[in-house]
Amino acid sequence: MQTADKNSGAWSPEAIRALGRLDLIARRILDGVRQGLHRSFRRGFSTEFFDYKNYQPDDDVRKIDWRLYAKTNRFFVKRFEAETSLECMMLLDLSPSMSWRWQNTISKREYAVALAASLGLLLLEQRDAVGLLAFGDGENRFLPPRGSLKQVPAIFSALETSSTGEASSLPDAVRTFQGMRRHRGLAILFSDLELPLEELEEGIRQLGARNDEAIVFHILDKAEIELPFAQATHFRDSETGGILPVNMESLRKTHAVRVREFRERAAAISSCSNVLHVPVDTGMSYVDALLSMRTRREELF
Amino acid sequence: MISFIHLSALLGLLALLAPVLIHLMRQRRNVLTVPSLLLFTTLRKIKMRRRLRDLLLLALRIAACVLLALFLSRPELKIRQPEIGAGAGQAVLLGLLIDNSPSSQASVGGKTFLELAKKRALARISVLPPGSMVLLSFTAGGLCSAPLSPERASSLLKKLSFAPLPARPGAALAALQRERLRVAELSWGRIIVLVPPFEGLLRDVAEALPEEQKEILLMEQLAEAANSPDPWIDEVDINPERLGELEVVLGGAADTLAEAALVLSNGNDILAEFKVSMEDAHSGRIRVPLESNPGGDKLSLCLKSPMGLGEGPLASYFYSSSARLAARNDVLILYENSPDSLLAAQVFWAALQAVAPQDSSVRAINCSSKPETLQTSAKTLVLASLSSSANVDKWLSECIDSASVLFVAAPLSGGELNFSSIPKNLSPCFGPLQNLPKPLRLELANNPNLESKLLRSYAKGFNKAEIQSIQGVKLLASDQAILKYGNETLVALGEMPQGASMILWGIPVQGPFAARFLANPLLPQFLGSLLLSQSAKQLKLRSGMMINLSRQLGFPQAHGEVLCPDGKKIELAWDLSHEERIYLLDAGFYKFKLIPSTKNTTRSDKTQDFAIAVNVPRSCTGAFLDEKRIAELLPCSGGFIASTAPISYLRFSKAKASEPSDKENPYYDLTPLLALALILVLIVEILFHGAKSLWAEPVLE
Repeated sequence: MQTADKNSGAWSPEAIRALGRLDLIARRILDGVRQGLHRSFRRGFSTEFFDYKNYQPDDDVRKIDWRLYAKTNRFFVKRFEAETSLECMMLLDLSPSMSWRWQNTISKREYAVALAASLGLLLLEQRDAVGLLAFGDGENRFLPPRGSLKQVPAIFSALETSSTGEASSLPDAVRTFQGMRRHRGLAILFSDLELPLEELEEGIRQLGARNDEAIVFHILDKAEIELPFAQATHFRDSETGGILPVNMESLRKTHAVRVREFRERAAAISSCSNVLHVPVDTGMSYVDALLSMRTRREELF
Repeated sequence: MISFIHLSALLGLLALLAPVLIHLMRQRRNVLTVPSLLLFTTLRKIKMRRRLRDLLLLALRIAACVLLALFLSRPELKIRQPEIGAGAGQAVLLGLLIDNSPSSQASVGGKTFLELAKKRALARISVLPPGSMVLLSFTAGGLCSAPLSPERASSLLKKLSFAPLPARPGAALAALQRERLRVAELSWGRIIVLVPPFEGLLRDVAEALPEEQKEILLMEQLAEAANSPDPWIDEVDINPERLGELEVVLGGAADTLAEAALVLSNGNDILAEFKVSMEDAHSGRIRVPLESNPGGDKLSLCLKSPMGLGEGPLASYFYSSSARLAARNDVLILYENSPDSLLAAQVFWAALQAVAPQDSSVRAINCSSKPETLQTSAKTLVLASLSSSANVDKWLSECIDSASVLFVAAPLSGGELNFSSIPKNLSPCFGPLQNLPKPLRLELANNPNLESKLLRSYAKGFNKAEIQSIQGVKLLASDQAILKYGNETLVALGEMPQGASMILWGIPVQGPFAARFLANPLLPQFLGSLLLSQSAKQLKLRSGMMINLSRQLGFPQAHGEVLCPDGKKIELAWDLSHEERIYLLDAGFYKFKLIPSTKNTTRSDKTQDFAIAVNVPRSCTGAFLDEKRIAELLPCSGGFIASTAPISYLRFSKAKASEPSDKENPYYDLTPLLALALILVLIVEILFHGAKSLWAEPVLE
């Protein structure tokens, strides 16, 4: 299945949101991932060599063992064994900026929840331990990592609930998460990273410091990127309430560069802390988002 | 202190509402909530720049509006107002408005108002500091002289006599104001108004004076008399028992006679006989030789008809140098027993007594008498509204040998006049015709040379210019008899339908009437004097204007520039070799071919065609009227269509600029500075908008 197909029709985020229940959404996303790959997504997360298999079309040529080809004059592809002892912790930013939506489109929060649910389900089906820390919309909700499939409804329930109270920032949440964690493992952050520079650097630095591997899904709203607004004269910040006058005409001309620089800055900060930066937006299909993460991860490792 | 010439232009400040409203509308917010401003403004905020830009725009637009309003209102900065009189030491410009109209001949304590005014004016001039200049303005004709030295002004004042023209103090004051604006090198003194305490005069003066003009010094009696009725008319003693020998004592001349007649006719039954006595400054008490009034009670109706119109052209005619030679001999007034002829004879008699030289004799002959009684050598014949062409021919045959000038007053009641017997050497002049109750038929067909004679009559006394055409309103109805010269309409004759109306030279005329004589006999003289005038850079002419350039303006040479309708500029130079007085009766558009004289001119080899617009009010001129207004003025517009000539302007400049006698400018015309400031503001605003890359980004980059 081509990427374009996943971005529209039945695989678009809006269409998948129509399924309603989060478990259905997550499984639907995984179906799409599997259909798109025609192979196990699990294998891609393993870092230990498992065996060889004959090269088949659609196999990644980078996995061909060229030394073995030199000996046998046949193409073999290396396969890796899944690491069952992986402990994955998902950090979900539910701050007000994540809840903003343009008209009836999907919000960054909804997008992040669906993405986290599908990824958590995938990992749990691989017998990995998955935990959750939701922060930013009030009191933090922490779900310790467990490998049992009973963890699935618990994660879904935690993702679908919201909280009120004093919201914690990304550095505080990461610090809380690090303090509760028993083992090193994989940490995945879902956030728009629309933070002051100091908080962003601190949060990302701490995220990458005490984990074997860290991934950040940098989620932007499609409307934030394309600015489909009418002639607004002022912007109000959904988090701080601050108002700033704007000139939409000139803003549109320079906004693409602004968004690119914003992502590049987050990518640079993440790279410095050995955190994999995966930029996505709410107009992107979940399958593409997950495959993009997988591709970047393979490139990194 | 700042004063404004056009104070009403300050109403343009209301336009300030526009930029303010624009500014306020731009302040309306359309706030949109976004996830976070950090995506847009992690870099810098330039909120103050936006406000600064808006405020600067607002300030620029307000400044532009204010400067434009001030520019149109023509402010003057008064640096210092010196006192007039001994001891002040500061050379000043003094304006004197003197009433020299016939009503100024009214006397107080044995002296006429004109004499009192002259005495007071001479007293003022005598105490002027050295280097001062004087502007003399006269109500008769509404003129103003160029700046004169005190000696020259005193000399002119001593020679000043009244002119038999309607008083136009408003026009005179306006001319005075225009003149003083051009004298920037002198401190402005004050305007001294010296007019008799007649209500109409004072009202005109009050209306003509600008609101902020506070330094007006009136005669002492004027303030008290301002609200009282005209004392001279009040002296009319109407005794019904003695109406057969009514004696009216008048202070002025012909126009005052008209006023008296109107008063007499108002609610009084005029009986068969009365006598009118006049008193003026020149000849003392004069008894008008009208012994009977065959019109009887119809005289009251006759007296109500417009008067005071005929004596103006006549008087101006006699003031002209060429006509004066003729007037030095006998003047013969021919009248008949009709009421309007009697009235016309009275008017002409009064006017001639006032303006004719002292050695002239003026006689009035009733055409009803036998011709054998006439033995005259009169060179000027006046036909006072004669309605019988038979009588005209009979009397003309008696005196035509000696006459060289014929002045015709149209019969108010209409009739027929046959000019077929007019010899070639007689130049007819015509008074105004209007409101004729019956058609007036002028027989011209038997005299093929009459057309050229008519034209020559206009040019009489002005042999250095000839009329090529006179372009007023063309009567486009094909069935009308139109006398043309060249391709231009000159005279429209013949009957016109009842209730018809048309616009003639800017003057709406209502029917019924039979004929309208378009031309003014003294128009060429006006043109010549206009060309001689070098006192105005842009001269606006008014009807009724009387100009004696050599005496009143004191400039023997003139140099001017004519802007033609096609934009072409023509330079003109003229030499004043004779004194001319001009009486411009009607406004309109005139097209002339000018042939400069060969003497003392800088351009002697070419003739020039040009047109001028004279006192054409926008409200009654076809050139400025829209179709709706024309329809209002022309109820039967289906029959007549008015069209007018294009307008051009005359501009004059001094041939030799006089050296300023004082470097200090007490009145400083701020208009050029305002114009410069306005241009600068507009340039700044244009540059401001041009630098959009610098200013158009309000917040986010």
